Amino acid sequence: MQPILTAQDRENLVSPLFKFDRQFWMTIAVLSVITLPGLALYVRQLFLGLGVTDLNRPVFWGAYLVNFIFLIGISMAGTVISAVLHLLHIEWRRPITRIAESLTVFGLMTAGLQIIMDMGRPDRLINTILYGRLQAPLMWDIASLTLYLLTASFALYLQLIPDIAFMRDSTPENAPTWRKKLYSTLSLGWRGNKEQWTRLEKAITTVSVILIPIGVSLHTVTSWLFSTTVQPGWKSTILGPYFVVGAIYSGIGLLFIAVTFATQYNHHLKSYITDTFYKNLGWIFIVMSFVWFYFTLNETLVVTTEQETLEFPVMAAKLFGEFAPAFWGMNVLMVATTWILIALKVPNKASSNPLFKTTTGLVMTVLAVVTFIALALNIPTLHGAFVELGLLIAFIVFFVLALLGLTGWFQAHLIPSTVIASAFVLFGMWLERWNILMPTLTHARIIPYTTYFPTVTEVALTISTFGILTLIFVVFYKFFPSISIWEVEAGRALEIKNGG
Amino acid sequence: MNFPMEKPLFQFFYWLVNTPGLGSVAIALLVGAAVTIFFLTLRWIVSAKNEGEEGLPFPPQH
Amino acid sequence: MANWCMVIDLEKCVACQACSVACRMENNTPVVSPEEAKNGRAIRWNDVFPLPVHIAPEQGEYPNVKTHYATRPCMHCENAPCVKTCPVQATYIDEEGIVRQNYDRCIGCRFCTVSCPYGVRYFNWYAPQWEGTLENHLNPDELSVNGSLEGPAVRPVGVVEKCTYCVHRLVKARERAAAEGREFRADEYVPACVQTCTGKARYFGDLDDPDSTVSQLSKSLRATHLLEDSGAHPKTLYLAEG
Repeated sequence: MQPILTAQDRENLVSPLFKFDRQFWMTIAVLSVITLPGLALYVRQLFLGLGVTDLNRPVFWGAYLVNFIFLIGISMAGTVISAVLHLLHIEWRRPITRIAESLTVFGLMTAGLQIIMDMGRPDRLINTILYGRLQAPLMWDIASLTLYLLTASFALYLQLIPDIAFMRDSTPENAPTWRKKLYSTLSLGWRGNKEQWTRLEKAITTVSVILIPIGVSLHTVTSWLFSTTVQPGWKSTILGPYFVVGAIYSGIGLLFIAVTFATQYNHHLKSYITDTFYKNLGWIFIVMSFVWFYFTLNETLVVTTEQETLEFPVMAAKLFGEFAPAFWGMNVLMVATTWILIALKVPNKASSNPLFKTTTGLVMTVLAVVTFIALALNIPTLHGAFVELGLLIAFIVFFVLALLGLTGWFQAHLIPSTVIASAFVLFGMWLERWNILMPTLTHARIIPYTTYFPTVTEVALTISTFGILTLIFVVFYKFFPSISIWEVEAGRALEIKNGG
Repeated sequence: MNFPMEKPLFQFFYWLVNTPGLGSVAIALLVGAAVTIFFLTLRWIVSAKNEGEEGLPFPPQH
Repeated sequence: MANWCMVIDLEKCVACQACSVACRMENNTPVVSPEEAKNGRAIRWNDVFPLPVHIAPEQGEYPNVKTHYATRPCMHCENAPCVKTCPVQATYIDEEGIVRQNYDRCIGCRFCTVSCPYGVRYFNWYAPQWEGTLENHLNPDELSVNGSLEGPAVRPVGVVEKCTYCVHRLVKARERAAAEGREFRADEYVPACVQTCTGKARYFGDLDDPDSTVSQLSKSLRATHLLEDSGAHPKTLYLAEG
């Protein structure tokens, strides 16, 4: 059997892994600069205690926990998407499976960091092993997270074996010895005979089947962390599936951004990861956005209508209280996302109507942002005399006109639009996690209502977390090919066989 | 209303969920089983011997 | 075994906060700066606050105003949510119905503080500190169970602490009785807040003893619990006003 990919293909995929050029070191330097302040502030937190955060009573959990749920969310989609697509034999999945699976592993690693950051006594982490109790929801989360991390790492590794063997066989002569050793050790003596391939494919399919329930369990368990406390706002039975849906939604967003980042980093990848991927996964993205809206409506509608005395203050804080900017900001971002995604599916018809000009759209976007900020700041002088109502109507008009005006640009720029939509989803989903945690925590039953806003330490550590996530991503793909070479070859072979 | 704690079965359940250390045992079992299975799977895959062609770049198409 | 319980008669309570101060002195709870206190970092195992909590303390229009106050120790729930959610059993219900805290085992995850519907659990955001000479007047008592700190000695940073019904006083009373070679009597043990209460609004005793004051009071028609719907089966009893 002859390889389908040409020598040039292989060269394009392998040689960048051995080139530690300026671009690589610059990326590492920038990411380190982003990450280091947070690490320094964490050391300070270790010495002083959690007092350096804005946490208080009753807001005992804050930005770290929001990041934790968010990171678990983005980590979930990678593997689940890749497992589902694998089981359904979807062909366009092939180039992106590697990135999707690795995002799961990296996301879970950084999610674990959040728990340690949030602990008052990280030095007593060993106690969870010595004295772990089955009844405690935190133990369920530890169990689920560990199992998911192990299984996802295993799935990623299974996928990697043939490619590591390939790297072993095509390491350049001048490569450092330790890298040669690394590949030959990790490839486990893979020879690529027929029986090995059959067994590998069987194993990958089995792991895909196992991964889906474990992934769903992790996110449901994370919602149980909240439901098992008796606080208002967390008892809704929809929280579990809502978390899962949000996880897949934000996970697809991260996948789009990571894939685009990888292709920008190594231009050769563009010939493997084509527009087809953006278009096809875009459909799943649209579906998830509608499911997400449905769950959000359900959550809001039920609590608002039942007017339960403990639940309602929490919901009121979201709808028109101090959490309104975050809640409505999230909804605005999600509406914009859905519009962009749908626009990408509609044929582009040039229009001479000034309403559909990009410049009009940009102006309207600026106006919409300004009016939203004016509404969010809740300036007392603007109260009364229909000023607020006027601002609200103005915002809606500007927002609609902005979306209409930019539609043409979106349609003409598939990949940038998808990335913008993904960024909106990621930010919106972070806000959603915030809106689930904070209104409940600030509205305790018989403790006076308080406020919470992250301090410099918490913001810096949040930035560090995403810095670390990106660093792991960049370094990992300096050692392993970012697309699954053998999967792409198998896909090409299948195309040829089917007369493609 | 509470659980019928006078029943031995429920006493056992309470002991199961409330004893410090048992949670860790459960997690250890889970992790141990997973790691063992993964390790055995890897060994099973790479130990495959086959007299035919070697160095196939991708799985043979069926 | 006894089932220790506190009864608070809100009719008699004058909201003088003496219980709060006595608790602080007895249990060495750290003080915080006014700014920190405003940010909700104050540690008051025994808190005094207006009821209902979320609206202005005075209700009605002058001169027809009324104010309700409640004092709140730990409820020592029979179905305590904090105990159920602690991952390492750093908090547990002992055989005498007291919810206790193991400061040496607590990992500071703050799951119990979030679970508690009464907000009786407090977290040490910073290492404890005292103003001026207060540091020289700490309660020297120290209760260790199997080598783990549970008593009023100063707690380290990063752990959760809570009202223990002054359980070290129970241990001390038992030891004294044993040393004097006599039976321990239930009335030898009262928490500091009960001992100090100006209006004698607090009672303490064994709920399982049908003759004790607390079990007599528990039959009162005024007897009620805080947030009875919380499902936690709170034990600390209130005798309602009016």
